[in-house]
Amino acid sequence: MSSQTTAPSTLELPADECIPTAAQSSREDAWLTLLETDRTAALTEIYRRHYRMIASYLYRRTGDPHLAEDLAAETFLAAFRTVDRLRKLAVPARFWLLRIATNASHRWMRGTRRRIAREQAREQAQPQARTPPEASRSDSTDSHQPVRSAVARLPRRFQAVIALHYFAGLAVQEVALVLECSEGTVKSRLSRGRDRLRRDLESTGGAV
Amino acid sequence: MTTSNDKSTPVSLDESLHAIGRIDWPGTDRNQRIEEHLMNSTVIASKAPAAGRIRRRPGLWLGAGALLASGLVYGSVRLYDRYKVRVNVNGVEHIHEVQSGPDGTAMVEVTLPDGKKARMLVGPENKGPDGEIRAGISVSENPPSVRKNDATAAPQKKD
Repeated sequence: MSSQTTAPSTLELPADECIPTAAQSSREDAWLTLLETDRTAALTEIYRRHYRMIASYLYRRTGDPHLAEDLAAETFLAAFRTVDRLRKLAVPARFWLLRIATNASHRWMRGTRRRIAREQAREQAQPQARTPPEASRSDSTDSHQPVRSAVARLPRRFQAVIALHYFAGLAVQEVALVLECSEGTVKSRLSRGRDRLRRDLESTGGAV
Repeated sequence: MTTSNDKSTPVSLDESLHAIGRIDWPGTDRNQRIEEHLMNSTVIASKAPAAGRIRRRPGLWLGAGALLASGLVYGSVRLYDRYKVRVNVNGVEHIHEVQSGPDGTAMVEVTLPDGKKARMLVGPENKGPDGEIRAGISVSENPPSVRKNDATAAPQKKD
């Protein structure tokens, strides 16, 4: 891809931006230039480029496609309001969006945490009756819901690293960039988060 | 360790988490709320205001609806910085000038098709977990005047 920075009406951004190379940084600069000249076009580009990735991430976290759609909209609208901050951040737009999406899902989790706790208590009282948790409106045959629910019960700092590493597919270094912490912290939280998940799943029957 | 529904062999937690990470997004690549917001930003950018100044920025998309004694009223409220509010009432669009207070809330008064007036308080604190802002609407034959002594209601400023 050419490294020339022009003022295009459309941009060719890589579909999966990882740690930016020099060429990718150049394209990011081109996008930032577009943001100055045609803000709506720049926001549209970021939406078209990253919507599926954000919606997938939120769907994997919640198990509910409609909720994921709502949270994705909330993510992008929040991103549009704060897009000027992106200029000051040394991260690709994808990571910035994942940070906003993670915060959006945390807010939703906070609201449903009590319902999840009640579901867990019911599951423990009736281990044979494994009904889907009330918190999720996903398909009742979703075999991943117990693991999702267990992730949702984790403290926020463990939830974030687990979700970004496994559900968004980020490497440890990338998770550290998104969360603005050290790689050592990410590794530690991943390890401790997994330990907590194991204990939680074992105590609730361990069904997947 | 976790067990799968249809197997007796244990599945590791890592495998379970990675399996969730491989789930495909079943929806489309389009989101109506986002696209409407972008479209409105484009419309605002292309139109000169008829009167007064509209300070343009990606703003809030507010959707409010209420079931009233006179029927279902769909109110779509859009706040433009400080002065312009566009309200859609049963497909008819009205533009209102309101002054939001320091806390970001604003009182919008609309006239319903039957002549009654409805007042709608909008603000970010009404946002629900799904991102929608829901505002209460009261209908009155003789609506009270807009709050004048409320600290959150700044004086009306007309251009």
